[in-house]
Amino acid sequence: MGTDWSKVMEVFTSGIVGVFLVMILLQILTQLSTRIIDAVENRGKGSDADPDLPTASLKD
Amino acid sequence: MFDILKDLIFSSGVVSLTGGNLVMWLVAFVLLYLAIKKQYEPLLLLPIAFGILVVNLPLTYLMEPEHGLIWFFYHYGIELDIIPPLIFLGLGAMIDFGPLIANPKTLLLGAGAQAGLYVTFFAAVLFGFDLQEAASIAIIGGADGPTTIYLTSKLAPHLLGATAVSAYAYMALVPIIQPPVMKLLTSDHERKIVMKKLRPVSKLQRICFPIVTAMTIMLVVPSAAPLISMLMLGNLFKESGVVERLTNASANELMNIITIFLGLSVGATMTAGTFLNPKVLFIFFLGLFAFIISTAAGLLMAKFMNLFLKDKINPLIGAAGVSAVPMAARCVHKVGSEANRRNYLLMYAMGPNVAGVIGTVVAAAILLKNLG
Repeated sequence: MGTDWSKVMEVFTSGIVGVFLVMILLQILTQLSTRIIDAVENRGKGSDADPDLPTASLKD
Repeated sequence: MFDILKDLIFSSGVVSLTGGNLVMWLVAFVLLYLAIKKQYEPLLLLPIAFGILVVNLPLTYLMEPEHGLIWFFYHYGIELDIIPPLIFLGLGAMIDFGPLIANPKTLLLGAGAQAGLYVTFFAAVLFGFDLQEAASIAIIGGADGPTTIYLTSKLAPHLLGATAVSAYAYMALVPIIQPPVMKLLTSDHERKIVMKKLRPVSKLQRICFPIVTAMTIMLVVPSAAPLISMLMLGNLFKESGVVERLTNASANELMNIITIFLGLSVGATMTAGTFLNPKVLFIFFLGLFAFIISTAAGLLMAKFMNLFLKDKINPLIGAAGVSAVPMAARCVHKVGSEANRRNYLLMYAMGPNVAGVIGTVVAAAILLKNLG
């Protein structure tokens, strides 16, 4: 039986394109989620620090 | 008395020995030597070699369907897709995705290295393999044993022994195969590039990564679900920090137990009848080709990315885009430190290295979707 070259090309191109698309999508989502978490954590740190400021100044 | 002795001799395996059995014993002894003396991937090569040896002892019927002991391991473990995902569970519990989360661009290097896999697919078809066989051979370039076994058992089970041994053998030979390719495709100046320090990764980011990755990949490529779900579950065990017993069980006890069954089952598929044909030689040759091309593709991807990046990456880390965790990353570090003794590339290379694991699973899933 002869090789189905159109299928070969389909597997070849869809494979390369597919892997890159998935990995790019994953990269974007990873960057996005880490930035959101960074922002939330920084805000959390900021709000944790704020109440201490008046206390510190009173002690001083 | 004489009749009893005659019966004993004629019912023994000795009289049923074939030349093929003897050749397979030789293969088993070579692998045992490599595993024990050279310590090349001994955890896998040792049970594989022993599996080859015992299955090529005549009249033992260890791989006899519905009867043989190892056939049950093979059938329930590999044919029913239990073992490779469980290996991924253990792998996930051991992998640190921190360097990847700190530098998500390295996911592209994991993708770049998979390009080599598709080039090999094309080459294997040119060599006369059918599409399913070509895909099973090409995945060797991903340098990921469980994924190779998973895909081959689905697409071309008759090649399982050859592709698995090829994948594990080349993974063990990373320090020999990769450095010449790295040196050929990078300049001395490029190898000396010192990369920007990785940013710290918080615990919450580490916990979110396996969840986001599992959801993303399984939504886009559902056929990747068995492997990626287990990989990410194992990693979630580890990063959550609340199920230490499950993490340890996945990474140690479970991993060790299934490694025994995996190795033995894979080795037992290598009977003289299935292994001793010219195709197997081509598989080993194409497996090496796949590995070299994947390494080259990762390096070239890194060089391509450098055209657009302000903070240049050391292109050597692209070579770690093949899975082979952590040997490929160690190899990158070694070659990098030869060029610049103060360059510590190991952590940077771990990013593309673990991205390669994800990339290989995605590539296998796409092949499975197209050819399964």
